[in-house]
Formats: sequence, structure tokens, C-alpha cells
Amino acid sequence: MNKQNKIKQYGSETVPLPPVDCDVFTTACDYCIVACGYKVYRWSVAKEGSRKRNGLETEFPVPMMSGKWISSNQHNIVMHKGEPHYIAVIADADTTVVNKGGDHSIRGGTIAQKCYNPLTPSKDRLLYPMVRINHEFQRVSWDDAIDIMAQISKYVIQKRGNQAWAMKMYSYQYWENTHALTKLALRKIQTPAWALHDQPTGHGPDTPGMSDAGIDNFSASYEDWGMAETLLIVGTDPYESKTIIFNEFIKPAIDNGMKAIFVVPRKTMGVAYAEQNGGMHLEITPGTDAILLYALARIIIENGWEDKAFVSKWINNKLERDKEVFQADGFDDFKSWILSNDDAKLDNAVKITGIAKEKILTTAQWIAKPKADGSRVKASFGFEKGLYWSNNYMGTAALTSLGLICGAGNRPGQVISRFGGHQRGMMPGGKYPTERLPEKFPGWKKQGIDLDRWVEQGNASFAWVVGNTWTHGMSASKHLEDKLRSFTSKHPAQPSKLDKEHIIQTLKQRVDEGGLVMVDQDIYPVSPIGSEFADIVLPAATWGEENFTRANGERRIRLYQKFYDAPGESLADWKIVAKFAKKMGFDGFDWKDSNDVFEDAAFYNKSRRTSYVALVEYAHSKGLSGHELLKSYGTNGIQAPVRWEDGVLKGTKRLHDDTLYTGVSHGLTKIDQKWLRKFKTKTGRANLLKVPWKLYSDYWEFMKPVEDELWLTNGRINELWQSGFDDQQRRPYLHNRWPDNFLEIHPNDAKKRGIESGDWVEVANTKIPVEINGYTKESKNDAADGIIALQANANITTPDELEETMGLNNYNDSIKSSFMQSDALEMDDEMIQSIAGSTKEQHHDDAIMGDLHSAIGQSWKTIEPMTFTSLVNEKRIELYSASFQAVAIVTPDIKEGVTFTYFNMPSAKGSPNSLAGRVLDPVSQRPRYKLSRATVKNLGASPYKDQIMQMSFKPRGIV
Amino acid sequence: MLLGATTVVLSCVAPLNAGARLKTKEYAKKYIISLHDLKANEPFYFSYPESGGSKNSFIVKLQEKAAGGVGEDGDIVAFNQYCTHMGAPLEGKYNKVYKVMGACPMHLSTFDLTRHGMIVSGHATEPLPQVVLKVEGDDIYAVGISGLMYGYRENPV
Repeated sequence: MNKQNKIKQYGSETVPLPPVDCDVFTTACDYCIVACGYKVYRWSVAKEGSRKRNGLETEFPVPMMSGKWISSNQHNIVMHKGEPHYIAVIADADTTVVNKGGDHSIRGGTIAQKCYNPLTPSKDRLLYPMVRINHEFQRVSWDDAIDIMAQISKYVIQKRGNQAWAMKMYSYQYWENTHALTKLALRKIQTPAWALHDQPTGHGPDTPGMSDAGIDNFSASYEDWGMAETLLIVGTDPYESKTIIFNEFIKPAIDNGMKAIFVVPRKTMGVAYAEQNGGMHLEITPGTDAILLYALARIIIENGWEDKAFVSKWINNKLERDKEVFQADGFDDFKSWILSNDDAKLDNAVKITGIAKEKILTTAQWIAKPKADGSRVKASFGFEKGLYWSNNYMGTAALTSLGLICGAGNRPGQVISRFGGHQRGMMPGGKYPTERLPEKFPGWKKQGIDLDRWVEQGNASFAWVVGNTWTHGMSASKHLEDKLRSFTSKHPAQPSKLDKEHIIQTLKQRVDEGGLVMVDQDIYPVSPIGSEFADIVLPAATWGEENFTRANGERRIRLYQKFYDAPGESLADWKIVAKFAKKMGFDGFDWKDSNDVFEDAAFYNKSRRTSYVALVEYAHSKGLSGHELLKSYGTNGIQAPVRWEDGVLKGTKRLHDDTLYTGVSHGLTKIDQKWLRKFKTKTGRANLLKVPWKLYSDYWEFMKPVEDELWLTNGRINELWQSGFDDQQRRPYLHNRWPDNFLEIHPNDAKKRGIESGDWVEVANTKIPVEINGYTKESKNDAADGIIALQANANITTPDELEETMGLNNYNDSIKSSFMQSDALEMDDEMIQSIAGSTKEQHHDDAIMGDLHSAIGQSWKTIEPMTFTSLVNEKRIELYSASFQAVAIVTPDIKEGVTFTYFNMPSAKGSPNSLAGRVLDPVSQRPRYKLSRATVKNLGASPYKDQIMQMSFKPRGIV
Repeated sequence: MLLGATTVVLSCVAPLNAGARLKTKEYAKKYIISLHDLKANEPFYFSYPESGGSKNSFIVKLQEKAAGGVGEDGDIVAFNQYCTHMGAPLEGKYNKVYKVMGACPMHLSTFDLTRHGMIVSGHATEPLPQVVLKVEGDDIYAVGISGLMYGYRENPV
């Protein structure tokens, strides 16, 4: 017997059972978009249930598939009214939607351990407001922390204007919080220096190709994914990251004969299962999805397989606006464009995407070829970040155009939709102040501030970071991290004693001397933002510690109930905002509880996709609050937009669905929103979009690996998905599985580099393009004249190398001549707000666009200066170096020539996101952080290579 | 964690996941199979800890050194066969190439038999419970279970 024979397992020998009189709460998982329904059982530690008689109303041991088991990782002890209580948090076996029968993911399944318990790894929760004195954090009172913030804020706004007051916030952590935060930043402070966690710019759609086509990117219902005969999935494996959609909707459909086609460079479980059961894996080279999708459209049109009846009824036969760049002037225009587009030729697609010709042809047949009797295949199209965070505008435009010609987009089982990332937790309280923007596209719309670039240039003096890592998230750059450090913790002006006046004076001095005062508000210390840079750290209360609401990826709204005491002095974000706003002298923050915020937000967002004003009005008619009524719907919740019709409250299963029956409406509900039954365009018909590859190819060519480099892309894994912010380091069961970041590498690539599974590898990129500068004009009027003049002395690292690598100086002309036909267009249409909510917008000419944002109407002139080539020519690109370390997993399930890593693991040594370029999409100003290249070098064996207690190197797709 | 304590206060409750603490429930040793009858990569199913009833456990010679493995090569391991996600039986789902149990027929969880039944990919909130083995001469005995079996609040006495 050796040491390895000693069994080591996590978990307890017995689990506590709730007594019959336990308290039961409904909630949903805090993590991914799917938002499975859960029940929380809470009871005093002085009591217990028995095997036969307990609060679960079942007898232990429970039968398989009962959904009533409590595993050893599903319980905890928390404080309730100051007294210790057991909790068990398990998926709701009684729910009839989403996670039917109590199905659950590993993340939600272990969510009980998320709750604060100082004797568990959650012990490092932030408990008190703190101020950094001599580089150490010291506790202060809420009053003092808020007072310091308010005084500095007033000083900054008065001295440098409101655009020097910045906020970087999550977009998803509950409606009550996002409403309060945006009400403060956008409606009261009115700062344009505001951005969400996943992008540096503050406005515009994430999937602009869908928006321009007229399709809401969350129009589908989960059941639609199981109703198709063919499902094309691009840029994600829903098994890995949308687990229960796969388990409950896609897998059963595959078992019943649905063909699932996955377009991803890795073979994970969902891909492997589909392949084994009649589906297909299109092993794509990163960044080339749009080529594949347009090639499929071309094959379909060449064969006349398009859905002619649908096209005739639902495709716009005229331009939304005149002189349009990308929008097709009807199907025939799209047809002639794609048939003359050499990039969309099959042979070119085979060459660029690396996918076998036969697979592409078979895909076209499966999604569009009419059956022998002439009837059509029901095809649906789902996608995620592999597509739209690689090639944002073109990728989403190509997918949507393909789906539309196949007859999808507005019918049961024939949908085009995102699967989703985080839950839909944005409920705006103000609109992005475009009138205050200092930068714009020439002759066109104003351009939202790129907050990273803005801050790096010293334009912000105060930054409030709420619930995100900023320096390590999407579009992360070493450049930003270095700059932030120099403006904060490395700035000479540092408070040296815990005296409020001294702190305020010192921080004002820092403002005067070009520094930045930073506040970080979170549940844990976040490195380096919260642990090193911030001057003030504020403790937030979260899931289970307050009553919250939000929607999942099928617009399903649930109440996430409070069931235990928030730790220490932590407060819900909305409460912190209210404290600060009142100190600033703003009105409109006198909320007594989170329901007040919920109801306020309802009226402000009544025409939004997730509108629930009808629910609030209906509740009031019954003498209930909005939260109270929602609570009565339990884990089933209700799908938005919520409608009060024919005397009852109704959910909306899918958008744009012309089979939807709408009755007689009550209250303020807008019953006749066109996009409930038609597409989200002026005509109600959808647009086909013809986007040239060369819009993107300059960047893609630059990012292509050379010499011994490999593609580097990133994503998530089932065990850590939208949950890394608290569970990777604090849940031993999951930490044991993934103690460190990993890099999947193909055996052939590994062999060449002498790498085996379990080796530490260094992953490095020395040519990371980062967009810099701009914003050089001081006065607002100057700035608004056009794109900002460049700094004459811009410090370009290696301009020659860049230009040499590009070798594409003339491509812009070719775009104009070959594809554009309209190169001198102007438009004066108002910016369609990124943020719905302004009541003014209902009178806007584009009111039917709701919260969508159009790139339609842009001229090539507006886009060209924003292309990578133009930015290089204008010396707006610098090259940076970055690296990270990871444990190699050698597996044939990653495409040769491609490597894959986790995108932002808290315990990672170095930030993988920093290896991706920070060069935004020219049309949408959205990031492309899935695309990177790197050298991979063996650093020697990791401890995981030979010990067999932690980490597993087995492939993820063993069916 | 102890149940039945009536005066527990938060500050004295043992950590819920106490790192490397052994969590093995011991039973009287039970003969499973002989070394020479156990064929490589052919799981043998047996009932444990109770005799009779369903064959809820399996023993397998992986031909790869494994955590908790016995025998000359440390490659013989045994586990409970019910998926710790929702309890589906994994019988017939041993993958001899990768030494993995699964994918589970219900929701496709897989378990690494070389690493204490650790989840490879999937949803289970516990590793596959491992049956602790002991070799005496040519005989392999089970002596305990590490980890909670699906459906139980406490492994059967």
C-alpha cells in the first residue's frame, strides 16, 4: 500500500435533512443564462428531519431521477436573523420549465456553497467598507466611505466635467441593481465614460447583424431548440455552457432524430454526442465562420433551395433607408451579390475554414434542401461568442442572412437566436448620453467612449468599478492594467492616515496631478482592481441576501428570494447607489426596499423586450407588490414581455411570432408592439445583409499564426461557466477538478514542442495589436468635428513590422468598388440608443426598433476610418506583449493548429484575454477577443502531471 | 459535520469541505473477486455494502495506475455505479481507452476512474463514490466506501 492508496474525497459522510416545518424559498441559479429553478430549504441547526419524515416530503434513500437528493456539496450553514441555520439548495424537482424535474448543472448544483460561511473558503467575502491607507486596506464606516466618494466626485465633475467621472459595471447582476447604477451614472451624473463588463464601449448592440436584420437576439424560447429537424450551432457547445438547454431540449431532440451540426474548433461532449447520433462537427479555423455561413447561403441559392414562400412574405423587398451599405435591396439583390462574391465560393470556404467540402455541402442540404415531397426542413440557428466575439458585425449578419433564406427567424422550431451568456439582468435607469460624446465617426453618428482607451489617456479622474475584473475581462490589455496602476496605487498622492479630511485632500491632490481615484464594489477582493488599485472598497450583498429579479435566455422572469443575512455590513448594490446619490443631492433614490426599485424600473422600461410593467399593474390591482406576485409564480416565473390581456396575465413565448394571439389589453401594456408578431424593422419584414469579408480580413490576416505560432482561442467549460467569480477558488469540489488554468493542444502540435498532458506551458504573444490614442481635442466642440486628430508623437512600437505584416494598403478601395456601390453616404439619423428606457424614445422615428441599435445607414466613409488597416495607417495601433501559464491537456479533440484556454480563470497565472488584440469591430465597436495567436513552450511538469488527486486530463467528449 | 447537535454556533461548525479530510465509511471486509479472475478492462459488478440486491458497484482493472488502486500495478479500483448527478445506472458505460465511466445515459456526465471518480465533464455534484479495496493474497476485498452514494443521506449501515 502506498500513499496513493489513501482515499481522499471531498464531501461529508452524512447530509442534514430539513424538518417538516422548514422554510422553503424559490430562486434560480445565480450563474449562467439558463437560470434553472431552485428551492432553498432553511431550518435552525437545532432541528433536523428524519429519513422518513422531512421537509422534502420524500423518503431517503430517494429513487433515481427523483430530483430530491441532497448531495454533500448541496448544503451549508448560514446566518438568519443572527442565528445559524442549515440550508439545502437543490434544483426544483417540481418545476415544469427550464430544468424540468430537477435537472441541474454542476455549478448550480453546488450553489449552496456560494453562501457566506466564515469556516469555508467563502471566508474572504468583503464585509466592511475599506479605504487604502499606505497600501493597506482599513475599515471605515459607510458614512465616511460614501462621504469621501461624494466629495471627490463633486470635485472631479466641477473641475473636469462629468466625462471625467467613470463607471465600469456588470450588465447582469439583477435588475434592481443595474437600474440603480445606470440611473445614477447615465441619468443623474450623465457621464459618457461608462461601459459594461464585457466591452469597452458603452452603447450599441452585441449582435448588430441580427439587429440590422430585424431579429431580437433573444427571440426564441428554449423549447424551440428541440423542435427543429436540423439545428445549426455556431461558436458554442451548449453542453459546455448552457448545460440544461442541452440536457432538456437539444439532447432529447437528437435522440428523436434531430440533426445537430456544431461549428466549433473543439469536440466537447455535445459535439461528440451529436456526431455519434447523426449530426456533424464542422471543425472550423477560428474567425472564419462568416466565410462558411455565406458559402452555405451561396450553395443554397445556387440550388434554388431557399424558402421561397418565406422570402416572399418576410424579406424586405426594399431598403430600410436609402443608400444603404450592407442591407440587400431585396432577395434578388442578395442573390446577385452572393453569386458574384468570390469569398463565398465553396472552394474558398474549404481553404479558409479548413472544413471538408463534403461537410459543407451536407450542411447546406440538411438545413435547406427540400424533401422529396417538396416540403421543407425545419431548421434553427443558434450561436454564441465563438461567432460574435471573433467577427462581430459580419459574423452575426452572415448567420442571420443564412437563417432567413432557410425560412427561420419567427416560427416555432425555426428560430435564429443567441443561446446566451450571463442572465439578462440589465434594466436601465437612464440613457447613454450621446450628446456628450467627445468622439464620433466622420460625418456620422457619435461614437461611444472606448472606456479603456479613455481612461488610459488620463481622461478620467474617478472610476467606480462594480462587480467585474476590468483588467482581466473581455478586451483585457496589459496596457490598461499598467496605466491604471500608474494612475492609482503607483501615483505619488497616497493617503497615509485614516483621517477623512486627509484622505479627501490627498485624493483631490491626486486628481489635480493627473491621477485616478478608484472605488471597487464587489463581493470578494478582486485582483488587482480591488486588492491593489482601488482607494475605496465597498462590500456588496448578492444572491440570497436580497430579493432580486431578472430574466433568463427565454425572457423568463423569476424572483430570486432573500433567505439569509448578508455578511458583515455588506449592502445590495442598489442600496449603496442610493446612499451615494442622496449624498450627491440627487432625487429619485428614496427606495425603501428592492421592490420599490423593481417597480420604478418597470415603468421606465415598459417597451423593452423584458417589459414587466403589466405584471406590476396587475399586482397592484390585486393589492400585491410586483415582487409578491412574482414570488407566487415560483420557479416557473413568467416570460416577458408580460401582457395583461383578456383579464389575465400572459407570458410571451417567442418574439416576431405571427402565430401569437393577442387579446384585449389592460393597463399601460403596449399590446400592439409590432415586433411581437413581426420582425423588428419599419416594415416588419427582415433584412438580408451583404457584408464583405474584406471588412474583417485585414484583422484576421494579421492575427493568423505565423512560423511556430498556433491559433489561441478561449472559452468556458461546463464545470466553470459564468461562475468563476466565486466558485473556482472557493468550492473545493470544483477547485479540485480545475485548480489551474489549462491549454488544450492537439497531439501533433504538442509532439513538435515536446509537450505532454500535465506540463506547464508558457503561452505568449509578442504582437498584440492594441488601439490607442484619439480623444486629443480638449473642447467638446472641437472634438465633435470629426474623428479625433491623432497625436503627432504617437509612440508606435514597430510600425514597419505592422505595415509589412498587413500588406493590405489598397484593400479599402477594392471594397468600395467591388462591394459597396455607395461610398459617399451621409446620414443624420439620431443614434438609436443602446439603452432602452427613455420615454422620449417612444416618439422616436425608430421607436419600432425598440432597444435595438442599427448599423444600417452607415456609409462606407463612416466605416473605413475605423478599419484595422486605417488605424494602422493612422498609427493608432501599438503592438504589445503578454503571456500566461497553463497546464497542457494534449487532446485530439482540439483542431490541429489551434489551442484553447479558459477565458478568465481567477487562479490563472497571467490573463489569456490580454493575448487577444484590442481592435474593435469597425461597424459595431465591439471586441474580437476570441481571436489570438501564440507561441507555446514547455516549462516542465506541473504537480498535476504525476499526482492523481487533482485535475483530470481526459478528453471532454467521451460519449 | 455532525448532525443532531443542538447547540451549534456558526463559529464552531467544522468546515463543510475540509480539504483533504478522509471521508471513508468503513464496513466489515467483503470478498469481491480474485485477482486472477479479474480481466483487464472488464468491469465486474457486485453488490456493496449490502449483500444481495442490485449490483450497485463495479470493480475494474484499468491497466493504468489509479488513485486508490490496489494490486501489483495499483490499477484495480472499484466504484458505486450510480451517477451522482441524478442517479442513473452507469453499467455498461466503462470506456477502456480513457479509463472513464460514462457518459451517463441520462445527461452524459463522465468520471475519471484514475482520479477517485472525479468528474471529467458534466453535472454530478459528487465524485463517483469509491469502494475502498484491500488485497490479501489472490483475494480482493472491499472494506469501505468513500463518498456518499446517490440517493442516500448517509451510506447504508
